[in-house]
Amino acid sequence: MDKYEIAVTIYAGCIIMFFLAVIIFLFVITYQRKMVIMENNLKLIEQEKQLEVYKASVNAEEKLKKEIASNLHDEINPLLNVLKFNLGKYRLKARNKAFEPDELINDELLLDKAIDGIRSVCYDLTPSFFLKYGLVPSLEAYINNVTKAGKLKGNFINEISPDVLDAYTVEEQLNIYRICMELLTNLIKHSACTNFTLQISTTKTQLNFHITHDGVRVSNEEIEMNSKVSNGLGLKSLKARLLLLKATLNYYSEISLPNTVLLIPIKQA
Amino acid sequence: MMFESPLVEFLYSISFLSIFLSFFIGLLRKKYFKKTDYLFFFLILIGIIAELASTIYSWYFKLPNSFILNVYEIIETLMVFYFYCILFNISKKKIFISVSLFGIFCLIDFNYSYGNRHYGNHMIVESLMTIVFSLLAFQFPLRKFHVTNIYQSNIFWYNSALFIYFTSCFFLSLFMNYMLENDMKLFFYAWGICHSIANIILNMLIAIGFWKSKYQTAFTTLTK
Repeated sequence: MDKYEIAVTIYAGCIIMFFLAVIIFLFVITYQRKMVIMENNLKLIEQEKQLEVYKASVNAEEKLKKEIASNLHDEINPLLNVLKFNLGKYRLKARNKAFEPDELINDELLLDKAIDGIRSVCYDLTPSFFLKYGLVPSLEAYINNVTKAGKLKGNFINEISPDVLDAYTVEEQLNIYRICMELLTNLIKHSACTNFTLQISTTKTQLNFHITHDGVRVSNEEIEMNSKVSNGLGLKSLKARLLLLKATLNYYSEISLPNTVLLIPIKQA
Repeated sequence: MMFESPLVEFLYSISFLSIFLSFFIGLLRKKYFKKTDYLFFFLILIGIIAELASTIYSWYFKLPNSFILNVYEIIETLMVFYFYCILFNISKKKIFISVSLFGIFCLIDFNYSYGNRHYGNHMIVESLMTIVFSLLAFQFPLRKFHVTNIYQSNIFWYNSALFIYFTSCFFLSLFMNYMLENDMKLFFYAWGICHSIANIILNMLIAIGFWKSKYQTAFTTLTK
């Protein structure tokens, strides 16, 4: 190598190395910016999802309030008005000594109706049976009531020990209860089944709720499509509750599998 | 005139003055400084002292200044190494072992250099070490996105400064002894152009790092 070649090597080496360094430097900047933008977009999507869930839960709450108001106004209020009117009538009759105690039988029925109406409103707010006896007996009682009604037969299989649920707070258990209620209500409404079974079991990491039935089966894709198309709040509030519990819900259309599988992470007491 | 070409003279002067610019920006932002900022500030300060001392030595006393530059480069290596130790959270024991090994290497190399060469091999070691460390350091902003705005991270600018400077000057350090012994003209031109440009970029990026010290954006999860 002569002096000229060495000089060229040094200059070329320096220039190449310099541009290589600048390229790496620019790559780091652009790649990092790109990743940060991607990360921010993902965060934004996540936030939008959470917002949607929050909106759904607020709407569900508003809907419940409206239902309660409508129940009180349309069902209980007329009954109480009739009773008030009857009481006035009886006062006049009693003054004229023409009051017949048997006339109260009809009013007793009206009072029973009003009491039932108030009980149903209270049950919608917080199921008293659930608060008194807990999650598993409430689900069992609900399925027994469905069977007693006579249209379809429900089975309940419980394979978990009571202490498994002790780790969950009352709010979390209430969320599980509401999810199961929503799933069973949807099943009764839409699947046209005659038999269904709710099985509760546990693994080391999960609480499993399996629902099997002989009606029309649906898949995750169909449920996802329905939730996009429908304006109903049921599926949205279901999603919100699943998110709170960090639970997963899957629908399987294959006959060999349970139709609905709800998996809730086990909490250590 | 030291160099025959006005371009080289100009680049050398700008390179010489650029170190003062980063020093003054460092002075302006001193109140925001943390450990790593102080490290680079002292590196710049030692650089100024070495630059002035070597200029006085060679121009005024007409003596070879390679001794001053050799000592400066060893201090620079240790400071750069310490910077990456902070960045990678390397234990004190490992730092001590590495510095001791490097010290022994420098002593042997130094002794050998003065018999045979002008410059020690520690410059090549320093360049290689810095290139590897700075490339490894670049993975932090790519893997973890704690630095939402990479331009605000002073550590990123310091690392980039070291990376671009040492990568650009790697060939110069490889052929340094050859040029000094065989082709002084080539040395003055290569040093005057390549090193001056790399040095200007180094000082500019360090100055940006000083300016960004106000934000102290975390570069890694390891830095305090």
